[in-house]
Amino acid sequence: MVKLKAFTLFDSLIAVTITAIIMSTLSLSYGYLIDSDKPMGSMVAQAELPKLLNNLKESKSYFNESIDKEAYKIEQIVEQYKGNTKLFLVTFNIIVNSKITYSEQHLIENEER
Amino acid sequence: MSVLVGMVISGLMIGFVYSIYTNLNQMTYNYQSIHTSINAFNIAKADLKREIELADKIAPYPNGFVLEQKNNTIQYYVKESQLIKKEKANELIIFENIETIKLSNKTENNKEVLSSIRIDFLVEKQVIPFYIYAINDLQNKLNLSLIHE
Repeated sequence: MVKLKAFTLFDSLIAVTITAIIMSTLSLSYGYLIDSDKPMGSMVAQAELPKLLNNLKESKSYFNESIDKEAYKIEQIVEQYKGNTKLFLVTFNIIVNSKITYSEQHLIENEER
Repeated sequence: MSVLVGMVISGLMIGFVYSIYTNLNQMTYNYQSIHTSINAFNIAKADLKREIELADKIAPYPNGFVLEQKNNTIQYYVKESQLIKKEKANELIIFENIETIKLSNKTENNKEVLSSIRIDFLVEKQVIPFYIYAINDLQNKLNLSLIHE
């Protein structure tokens, strides 16, 4: 039978260090994966867009606006569509953690005219 | 003595690896659980969108609404916080956690008509609304043309 040498303190330290490096690399990769995932705030903000668009059409107040909530921010940009005064191009940008996570565009009629 | 030190270090090492493993396991479980809920929400939303697109008329129904399609009538209603789709005699649970379903009316030509529906889905303790508004055909055409530009 082959007898294995007992670990010395130094060997054990090396083993712990290697294990720690491997585990921290794995945790770091997992952390980045979680971070890259779209947060829930973005989903809630996306769900609010139909309401904002409908409110805009009903109120006929075609202005740029910014809606600040705890988990997200929605930017509403209204501009004339290619210089056509009868049409507005509405862009909604959803910003979560200072990053634009989603963008949506709609063409609406200018009902003020 | 050296055996004792070896045992202590091995114990620390095993404890360390085990705690990292359980933490990672917990994180993975939470991640999967959130994604399962989000998937269920997306499936329910897709079903609603598809059926609404095929509907000619939407009418109120006790605790829900009715979609009248060409050859079919579908009832969606909330029963014990579950969103149920009833088509012919079949009842299907579309989503498990619905907080509220709210129908709004507006007056058009001296008649009360349904203007919007708001369904609040509860996904991982977070309320996500789903709005249904009357579709403006001209706006749809415009947006479709914008997609192809």
